[in-house]
Amino acid sequence: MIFLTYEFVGFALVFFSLYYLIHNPTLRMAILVIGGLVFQFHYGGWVSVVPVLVLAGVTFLAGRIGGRRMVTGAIAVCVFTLVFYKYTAFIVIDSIGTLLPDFGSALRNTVQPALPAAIPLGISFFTFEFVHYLTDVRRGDRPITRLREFLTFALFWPTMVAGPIKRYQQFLPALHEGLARPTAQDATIGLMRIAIGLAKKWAADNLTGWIDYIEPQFLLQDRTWRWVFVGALAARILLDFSGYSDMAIGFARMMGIAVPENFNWPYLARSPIEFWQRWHISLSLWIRDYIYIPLGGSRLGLPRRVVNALTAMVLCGLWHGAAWNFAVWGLYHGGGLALAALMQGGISRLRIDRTKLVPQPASVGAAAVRAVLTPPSLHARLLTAVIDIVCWAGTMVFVGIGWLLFFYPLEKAAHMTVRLFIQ
Amino acid sequence: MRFYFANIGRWSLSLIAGLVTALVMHYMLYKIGLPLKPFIYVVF
Amino acid sequence: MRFTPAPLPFVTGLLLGLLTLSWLGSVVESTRLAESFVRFHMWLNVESGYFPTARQIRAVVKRRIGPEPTVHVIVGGSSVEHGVGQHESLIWTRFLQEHLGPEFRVTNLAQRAGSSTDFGNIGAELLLHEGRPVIYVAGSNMTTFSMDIRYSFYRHAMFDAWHRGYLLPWPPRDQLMRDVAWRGPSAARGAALGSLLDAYLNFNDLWNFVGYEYANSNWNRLLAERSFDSRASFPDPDYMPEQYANLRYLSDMTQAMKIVKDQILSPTDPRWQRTLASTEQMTPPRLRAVTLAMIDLDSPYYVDRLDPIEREAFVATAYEHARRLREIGFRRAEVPAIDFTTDDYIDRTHLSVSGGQKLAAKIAPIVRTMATELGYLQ
Repeated sequence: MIFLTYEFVGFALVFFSLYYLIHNPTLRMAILVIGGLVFQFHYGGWVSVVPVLVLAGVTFLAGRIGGRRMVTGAIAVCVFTLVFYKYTAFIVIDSIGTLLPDFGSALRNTVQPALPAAIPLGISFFTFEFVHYLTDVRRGDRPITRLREFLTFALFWPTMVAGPIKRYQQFLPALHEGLARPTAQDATIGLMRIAIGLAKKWAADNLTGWIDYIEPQFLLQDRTWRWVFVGALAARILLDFSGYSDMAIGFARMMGIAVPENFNWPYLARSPIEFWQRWHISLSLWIRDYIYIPLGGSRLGLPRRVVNALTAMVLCGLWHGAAWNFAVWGLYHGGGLALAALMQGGISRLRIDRTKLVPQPASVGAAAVRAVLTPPSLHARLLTAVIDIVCWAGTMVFVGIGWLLFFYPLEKAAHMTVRLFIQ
Repeated sequence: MRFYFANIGRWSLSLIAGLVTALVMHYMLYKIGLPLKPFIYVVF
Repeated sequence: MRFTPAPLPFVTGLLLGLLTLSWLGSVVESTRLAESFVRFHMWLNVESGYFPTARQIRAVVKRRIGPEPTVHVIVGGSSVEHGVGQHESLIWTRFLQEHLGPEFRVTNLAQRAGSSTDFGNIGAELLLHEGRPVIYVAGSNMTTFSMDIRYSFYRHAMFDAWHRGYLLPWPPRDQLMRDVAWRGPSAARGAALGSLLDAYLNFNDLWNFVGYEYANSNWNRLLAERSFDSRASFPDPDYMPEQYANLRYLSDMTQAMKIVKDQILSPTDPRWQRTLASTEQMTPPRLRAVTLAMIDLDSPYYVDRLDPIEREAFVATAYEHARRLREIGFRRAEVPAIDFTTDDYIDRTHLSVSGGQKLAAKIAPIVRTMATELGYLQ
């Protein structure tokens, strides 16, 4: 993990010293861009720097020049770049090669020499940010006119490796605010956030060690231990990922720049829908805005809504990794989302909806106000609590089993899932 | 008076937060130096 | 975030905390570790996620048990000198101490997968720096005495010692240490930078102390369920002789013989220049002047399977290395295992208890003679 290296500590000490010593916002922006380039180059090399700069150039120019074809073309270039670097081997070797071995073998021999030796650092993130930028510009949002602002957006080192995925409309004002005057409060909150992230990372690393150690004995353990294992797996990924996000958000905050939150207590979710509102928020919002809604979202009837959700989530799964278990994990969560959407209406009728306890406007009538302000009965409250607990427990089981699909090959994950229920 | 006590409370908590942050960072500087996975020197 | 810390008290706490922890790291010392020290066994070693620091080496070397010795004998080298194959109660350096008597104090700083230039030398050099009488008994393999610092498992200790001024000044090595921080492999650069930070913040010393005395804080695969116990609660894990009986000679014969043969170098082989240059770079002349280099030999169980010409060349390689070491200023360079038998080994390289006893008996008079030559003894 890049943030947990002595070289990064040295980089951060130098970077923040310069950032705080220099008061000129333009110079600070330059430090930010140079810092991003140094970061990309050091941890990714030319293999990393060249693609991100080329794509950034294409994206910026397309945004500036405008025109539907130009922008759509640039989106296609970004998507193609991501597919080329990340998915060519998966498509050729894992997919075609598995279905048609002879043809796949010949294709592999042709394609393999042309495959890049390494994947550019953070490609999954910066291509998504560029696609967001181009799509929003195509929809009519004002493009970034200054190259240096765009480069700051593209090469922002705290979020370069693993997000959160930024939106330029929020990032630019936050950037200018931070460049103009990073406050002592910002530094303080940022440092605390980094410390929280570090503590989470320590816990995650210990869990990783335990998980790696105990996993070969999974089938030898009793069912309770297997569920504890799944719990540890779930805790580990949350601590690891949210810990990283905390550090990224903390470093940005130290510069006075606010970036989006990425996690909001996801294991309190009472449904898969709520889970994706709390887990990797910047990604789920991106998937919603740039895949689910463009496909039609929930506007075209229930069957189409389900198809859209499944498609969006399969792509979300594949974004995490170029392997079939990720696609299945995405499909699994898509199915969960669809089922949750179907059940949502029924469940909400049984629960006390606390939003309905807010007094209604006078136009609704006094009777309605009296009815609404009558406190719910003990029976209603108990029923709501039980429903919440059952929904929460069900969601946690659903999410936990999903992590087995995420981390292990399909066959193994399926076997492990079965053995969660059968000794 | 309430303002004074509220401030004392906030300052004390802030001081403690600073101390804890120092502890976490000092410890993590140590942890960074540890290997991610152990390596085993095979005797036989 | 609901709680918004006030900047001034927060920063005060942060700085106060860092200063206090850094100071604590500079003063803490595990007296238990020093007083009960036999060797840095597996649970006090890098394999199990514990990185002994230069200050810990210093504390061990200068441990206050009994009267101050006239001569310090620091043992460095690999797992052979570390005593793999020998239970701590029967380790060869105990017998060496017995032979030498109370005027001498023997400290075994040899490390598994280590060399004589990346850990044990720290103990010897810090004593030389202080003008103390010291003899460095340093193990060597057949053709290379030193380990490339960039790839050593113990580079952290070397950088730590270097930053704290424990090492003898030696420009070729100092230049290499400086270069590694900028141009070495990533892991070595990290170790170099980490040691630089540690020289001021003392985090390795503090948290090593906590891990040794109270509780370890990181899962380790070797420690497993005991990962969070204090290191002091772990005994030296090496086996008693009877436990080794069933473990001997399990390695693949073809592979083992290849390793044996690959060590043979003719006197005119150009690789000697490279290995000796590395030895000169990593070993200051002042250290060489007090060093007894011991060239380790493989077990006759394997060596006797070589054909006569190869066997002769094998032995000649060891003596050639010894000769070349003396040429570059090592006070003594010997091949003590030349007459050892199969029973003196537990595997291809590591000595059994009887082998350790023989080694101690051979080395002791040489050490005593060196002490006289160096003017340590009246």
